[in-house]
Amino acid sequence: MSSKRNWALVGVVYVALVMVGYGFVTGEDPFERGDLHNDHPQTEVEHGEHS
Amino acid sequence: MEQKEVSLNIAGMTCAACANKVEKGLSRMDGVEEANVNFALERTTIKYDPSVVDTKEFEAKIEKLGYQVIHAKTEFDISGMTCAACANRIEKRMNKLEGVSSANVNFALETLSVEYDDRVVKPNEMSDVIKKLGFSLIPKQETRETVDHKEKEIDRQYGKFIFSAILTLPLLWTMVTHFEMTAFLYMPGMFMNPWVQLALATPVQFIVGAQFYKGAYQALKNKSANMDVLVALGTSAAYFYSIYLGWEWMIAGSQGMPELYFEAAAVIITLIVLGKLFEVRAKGRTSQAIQKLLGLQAKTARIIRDGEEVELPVEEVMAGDTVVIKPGEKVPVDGEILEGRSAIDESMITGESIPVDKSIGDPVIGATINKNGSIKVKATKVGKDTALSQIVKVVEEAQGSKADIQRMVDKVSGIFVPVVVVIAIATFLVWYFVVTPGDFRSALIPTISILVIACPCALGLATPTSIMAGSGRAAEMGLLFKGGEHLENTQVIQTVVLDKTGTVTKGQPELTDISISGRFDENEVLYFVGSAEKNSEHPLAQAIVKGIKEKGISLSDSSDFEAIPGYGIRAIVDDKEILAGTRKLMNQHSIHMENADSLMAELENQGKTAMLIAIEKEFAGVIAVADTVKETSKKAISRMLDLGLEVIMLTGDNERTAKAIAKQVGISNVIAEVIPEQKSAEIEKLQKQGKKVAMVGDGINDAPALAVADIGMAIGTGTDVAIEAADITLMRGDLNSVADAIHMSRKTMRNIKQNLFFAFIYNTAAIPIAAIGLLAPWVAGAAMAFSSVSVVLNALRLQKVKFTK
Repeated sequence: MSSKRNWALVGVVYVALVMVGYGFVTGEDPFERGDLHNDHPQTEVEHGEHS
Repeated sequence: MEQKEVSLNIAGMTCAACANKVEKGLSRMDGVEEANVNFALERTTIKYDPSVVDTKEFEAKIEKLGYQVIHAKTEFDISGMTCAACANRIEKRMNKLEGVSSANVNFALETLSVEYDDRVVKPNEMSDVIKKLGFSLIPKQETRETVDHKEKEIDRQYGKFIFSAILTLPLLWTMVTHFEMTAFLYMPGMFMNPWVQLALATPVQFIVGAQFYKGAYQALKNKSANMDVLVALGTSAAYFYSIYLGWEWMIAGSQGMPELYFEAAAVIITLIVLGKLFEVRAKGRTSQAIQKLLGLQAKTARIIRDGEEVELPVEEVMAGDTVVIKPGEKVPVDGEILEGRSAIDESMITGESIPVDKSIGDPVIGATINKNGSIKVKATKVGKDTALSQIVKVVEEAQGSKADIQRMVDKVSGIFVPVVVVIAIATFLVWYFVVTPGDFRSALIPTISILVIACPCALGLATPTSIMAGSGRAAEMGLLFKGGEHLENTQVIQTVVLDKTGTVTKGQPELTDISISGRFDENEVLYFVGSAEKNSEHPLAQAIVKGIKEKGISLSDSSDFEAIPGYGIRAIVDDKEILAGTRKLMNQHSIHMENADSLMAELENQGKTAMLIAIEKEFAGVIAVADTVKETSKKAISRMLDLGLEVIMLTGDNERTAKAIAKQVGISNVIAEVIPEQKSAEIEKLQKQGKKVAMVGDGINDAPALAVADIGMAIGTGTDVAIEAADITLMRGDLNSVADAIHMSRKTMRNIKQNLFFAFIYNTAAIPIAAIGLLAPWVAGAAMAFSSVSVVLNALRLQKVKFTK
C-alpha cells in the first residue's frame, strides 16, 4: 500500500474514532445538527465576528 | 594554493533563509574560498583548498546545521574475494576514490554498496579501479539517483497533506458555518465542541506540523530564523490560545460555544504543506532540461570484443573500443568513424535540424542519431568525458550558480524573518495597548496573519527558478551559459565583435572561380592543376583539389613536384610541366599573361586568393579560392542589428579581404589587420568607450579576447581553448545563436524581475493589510502557499521561449 493511502486511511479512522469517542463520552448523537448562532449569541456580541 | 570544487545535494531546506544559513556556515569554514547554495536546486557548490579541508567535513557541517547531504547509491556484486582482507582492501580503495562518500563491503554476501557523488565518479570508473586490485565488480541494480529521494519525499508530503486535509475539513466546516450567509448549512454539533476541535487539530499541529517545529528549532539553534520559525510561531499562538479559551469555557460551565482558532492553525499547516507540494513538483519541472539531456544518452552499445559483436551497457564501453552503429541507432559514445559513411542527426546537441554527412575520420558525438548508414566508430571519449556529459555539467553548473541579482535578494531574505517577527510583535503591542486596549484576542489575530503571510519563500525562489528554466531552455537550443551571471549579463551587451574566420565565414577555403584562357578546355586545365596540386599539403591546394574532385574530374599522379614558398608549385603531369601560383612565379618562368592582371585585381577585391596557371610555359587561366561566408551569417547579423546591437568584424586579414566579407554579410564596422595578441586590446579599447562588449570567436587566437570581453561566446565547432575561455558556448556553428543568446538573456532577466516584483509587492502589500486586521490567518496561509507556486509557474514560462530561425 502506498504512503498516500496509509495516511488517508489513518486520517479517516482517526476522525471516525473521535466521533465515536464523542458519542461515547457525551452520550449525544455525533451527527446531530449544531446551531452555532443560537447556541452562543453572548460570545458573538462579546468578541465580534470571527476572522 | 591548490583549489578544488565540489557540489553536494542537500535535503531539508525549507526556504531561502535555510539556504543562507548553510551558505554562511560553509563559507566560514577554514580553507573554503567560496560556497554557494542554490535553494531551488537544493545543491551547494564549494570552492576549497583540499590541503585544509575535505568533502567529509563539509558533509559534517551541513548535518550539524540540521540538513542532510544526499548521495547516489549503487550496489555491486564482487567476484574474486578470498578472505576478509580482500574485502578490507576494496573498502579502503573505494573510500579513497574521489567522489565516494562511503563504501561498504559485505564479505559474506560478496557485495559492495557505495554512496557517491554521481557527478564526480561513475560506476564504470569504480569497476576500473577495483579491476586493478584484481577483483571484478558487476552492477547489482540500477543506480538509485537522488531523484528517488525527492520522489519519496513528495509521496510522504502528499500523504501528510491528505491526512491533514481529512482532519482539517471538519474544522473548516465549522468556521464556514460561522458566517450569517452560510449558517443554513448542515454541520454536526460535535465539531463545535472545543475538545473535539482540539482532538482534530492536535495531530495536524504536531504530526504534520512537526517538520516546522524541527526546522525552527534547527534554525534558532544556529542563531538564524527561517520560514519554519514564522509558521511554528503563528500556528502555535493560534493553537495554544485556543486551548486556553477552551479551558476558560470549561471553567465557566461549558455554556455556549467559545470562539476558537484551532481551524486557523490547522488550515495554515495544511495549505503550506500543499503549497510546498506544488512547489516541489514545479521546481522539478524547471530542471527538466537536465533530465531531457540525460535521457538522450544511449543505454547500450554494440562493441566488437575478440572479433565478436557484443551488446553492453554504455557505462562499460572503454576508450579505444570499436563500436558498431546501425541506421536509426543512437551513437553511444564520442568517437571517430573507422568504417562507413552516414548522415548524423546532431540536432539534440547543436540545435541544428539538418543531418550532417560524416565519413571515415570524422568525429561523431554521443547521443546523436545515425540516420542512414551502418558505421564503425572508435570510442575516443566515454563516461564523464563525452560531449553530452560536459554539456550536462555546464548546464548543471549554470543552474547551480548565482546571478548577481540573487546575491542582493539573499541579503534581503536573510534579514527578512527577524524583521517580520519584530513587525508582528509591534503589531501585537499596538493592538493590545492602543487599538483595542486589553483585548488579547483582537491583538493576536493580526499578529498570526503577519507571521504566516510574510514568508520569504517566493523571494528565495524568484531568481534561481528563472535561471534554471532559462538556462535549461537555452541548452535545448544549443546555447550553453556557463553561469547564472552570464545569463544575467548578456542582456546588457551593446556591441558584438565577430571574429571573421570560422565565425562569420566557414573557416575553410573553397574553390570559387575558374577563368580559362582562350584555347584551353576547362576540364583539361582543372585535370592538370588538380593532379599537380594533389601532392601539396597547403590548405589552399587542398581546397582546389577538393573543388576539382567535386566536379567529377579524376586526377592522376604527378612527378617532380616542387613547392616554392611564396611563389606556388611546379609539377610534371603526363609529361607536361604545370605551374600554379603567383605573378612572381609566372614572371620567373617568363610566361606571358593576357588580361590576367585586371581579373586578378577583381578577384582580390572580392577577398579571394587567385592563382595563375601555366601549362607547358603557356598561360592557361586563373582559379580562385576563398573562405566563404556561412549561409546563415547574413541573416544572423541582420537580427543582431534589429536587436539594436552594434556589430563589428575583427580580423587579422588585410583590410580589402575583410571589407569584402563584411559587405557580403551587412557589417559596416571592420577592424582589420589585427594580430592575435592585439585582439584583446581592441576589445579593451571598445570597453574604454563605455560599451558592453561581447566577443564571438572560435580559434585559440580568440581566447584572450573572449576572456577580456564582458561576455565571451565561443562557437561550439571551434577549439577547446576558445570554449574554455568563453562564458557561453554556441553549440550550433551558426551566428543566429548570438542573437538567440541575447534574446534568452533578456527574457530570463525580465522573468526574474517579474518574479521579484510579485514576491516583494506581495509581502509589502500583505503585511500592512494583515497588520490592520483585514486578513484572516487561514487566508494568509493560502496566500503564502500561492505566492511560491505563482513564482515557480511564472519561471516555467521560460521553457516555452521561442527563437527566430
